[in-house]
Amino acid sequence: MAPKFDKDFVLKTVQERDVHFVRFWFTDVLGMLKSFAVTDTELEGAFEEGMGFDGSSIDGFTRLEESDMVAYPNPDTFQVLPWRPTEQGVGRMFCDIVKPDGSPFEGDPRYALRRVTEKAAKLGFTMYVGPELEYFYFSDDQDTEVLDNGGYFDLTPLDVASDLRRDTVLTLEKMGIPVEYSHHEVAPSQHEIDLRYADALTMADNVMTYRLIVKEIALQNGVYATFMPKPIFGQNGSGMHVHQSLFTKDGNAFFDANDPEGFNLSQTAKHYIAGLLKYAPEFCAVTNPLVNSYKRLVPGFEAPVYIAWARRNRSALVRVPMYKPGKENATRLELRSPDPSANPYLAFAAMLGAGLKGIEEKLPLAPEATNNIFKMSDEELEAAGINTLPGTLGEAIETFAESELMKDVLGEHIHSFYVKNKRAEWDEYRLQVTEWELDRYLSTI
Amino acid sequence: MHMRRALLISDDVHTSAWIRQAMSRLDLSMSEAHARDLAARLAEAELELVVVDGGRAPEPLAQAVENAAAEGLDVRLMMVIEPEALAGLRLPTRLKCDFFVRGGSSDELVVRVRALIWPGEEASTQELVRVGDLTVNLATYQAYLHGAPVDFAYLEYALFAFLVTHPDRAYSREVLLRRVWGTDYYGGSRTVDVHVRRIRAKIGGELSDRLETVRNVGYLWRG
Repeated sequence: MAPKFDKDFVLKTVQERDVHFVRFWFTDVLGMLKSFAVTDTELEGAFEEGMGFDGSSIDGFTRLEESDMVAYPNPDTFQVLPWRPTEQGVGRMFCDIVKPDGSPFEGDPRYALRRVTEKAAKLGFTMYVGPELEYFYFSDDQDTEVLDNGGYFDLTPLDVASDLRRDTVLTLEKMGIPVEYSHHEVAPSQHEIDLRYADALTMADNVMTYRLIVKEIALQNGVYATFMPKPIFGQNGSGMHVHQSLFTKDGNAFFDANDPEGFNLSQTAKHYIAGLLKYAPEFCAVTNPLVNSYKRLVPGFEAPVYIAWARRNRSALVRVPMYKPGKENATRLELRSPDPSANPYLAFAAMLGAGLKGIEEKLPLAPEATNNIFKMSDEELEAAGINTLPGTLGEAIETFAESELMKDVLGEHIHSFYVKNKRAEWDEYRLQVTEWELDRYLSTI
Repeated sequence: MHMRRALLISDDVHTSAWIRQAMSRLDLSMSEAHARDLAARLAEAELELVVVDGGRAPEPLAQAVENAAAEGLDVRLMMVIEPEALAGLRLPTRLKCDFFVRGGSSDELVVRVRALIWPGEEASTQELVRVGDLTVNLATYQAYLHGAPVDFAYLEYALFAFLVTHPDRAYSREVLLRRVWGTDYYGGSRTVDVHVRRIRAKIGGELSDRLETVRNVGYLWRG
């Protein structure tokens, strides 16, 4: 067995690199990154005993009577922050949150994901995830003034954003987050950076880091980056397509060269897809958590609406990229509904939970969607048994509230907090009188 | 042990080349100068070691370094001298110093310098691995590229250190998992690919080409 010198590695690196503060990072239930700084002298003790903090003001963490929390840093996640000064620098570690008695805290999203990945591990599976996050650059956070009018893959010579994107990619790579592609997206000022796959827990950490870096680099350059799912009416919204696969110790569990249907998909993959399709309405409130998320999930903007799978059509909820000979490790599927405002820990947990449930229930996979479904009327779709995703956050949260699977996957604590919080968000929105209503009705009625 | 800044003073290209070669095993960032520039170079910040090629008359150079130490420079001195200089040799008393008589082995010089600047840490000469512009210090887990630190995460460092200390041999993903992650790790061999990508991204350029993918086997570090 390899000697584990990870804590020593962190302590020595902190000393050698003149790191004075280490930020302890964790994530609240709504997906906001939380951080507190620990000085180098406290670090050794923090590895042994954790660092206590008051969790009562953190969204989704505690009821008041049990506000004491302890953060345990993961030495494997130690990283010097490249955008901080090199002298007296700053490092960071992701933390697990435990209760004062030492047991894992049920409100910690990282713990929720860890529980599901451990369940997968018992079945012999490791989940690998490769997300594609889209976002917009605007002049500031007050308005949606775009920086460019480029389109998909456009190389815009006077485009301040391509420099921003390059800086962002370089910073990500320095943080150990390799990038697969980055390019201009369809809408003006919209960009996409695709991350190389990693195991689900590491990738959820990476997504948190990624969102911070994109915003940080934008800020340094005097502009604003947003992951809001649909900031501009009439333009494409920002998604977080999630490529995913399961591996066993023998290789890709989704690949089967002898698939009788010719998709090169194993039974495991087919059940997994069927699970995603069946439970998509139930986990939609997690992968698409905002009122605004549902303004993206409308026909006509490459976002999925219908619960179907396909190999070519990018409006399907699940897309299976075409198999390339010799690339069995790349066999995967892509869930296209999530958006980048989601809590990545909960979103990956929900997807994996749904896929594993599909495997457990041996769900049969419906036939591949033909292009016709995107031209069918609502009645024709209903007759063909093709459902749609929830149309609003209100609909999504009620479906989520009823979901036994989500209660099981995310745990009672997170589930009940989430229902309460999101119902309140939806109610607040529902009571608004919008510009649209005034424009439409005031002068005529 | 951590990287130290050193200055080599010599007017003889052969001697300075030999000393430089001998000391390349140490975690030093070494600059070189002629004897006439010694005084000016002593004003440099954070100098921790001066090696003087003193020949048969080392005293004037040693004196200059000793004076600087007396004025507050926290520096150690290594005098490289000819056998003829031994008879009348006076060692400076106001700073830590040692001497090495020419004709001795490079191993001796390394041990003496190590004892001088890393007292108590002079265990192994294998703690430092150099590949081109890259230095890996196995004692402090730090890697430097062109003198700038590479910010590895723990497992990236552990995998990288394993490969560079076992060069020119292909290792399967399974073996790497066992040796680096340990037998209790459950995660599948794809984890190795993920970490190799991250290492390549961090070291970049030509060096990343040395971390070769060996088809149907695993990975190899070309030494």
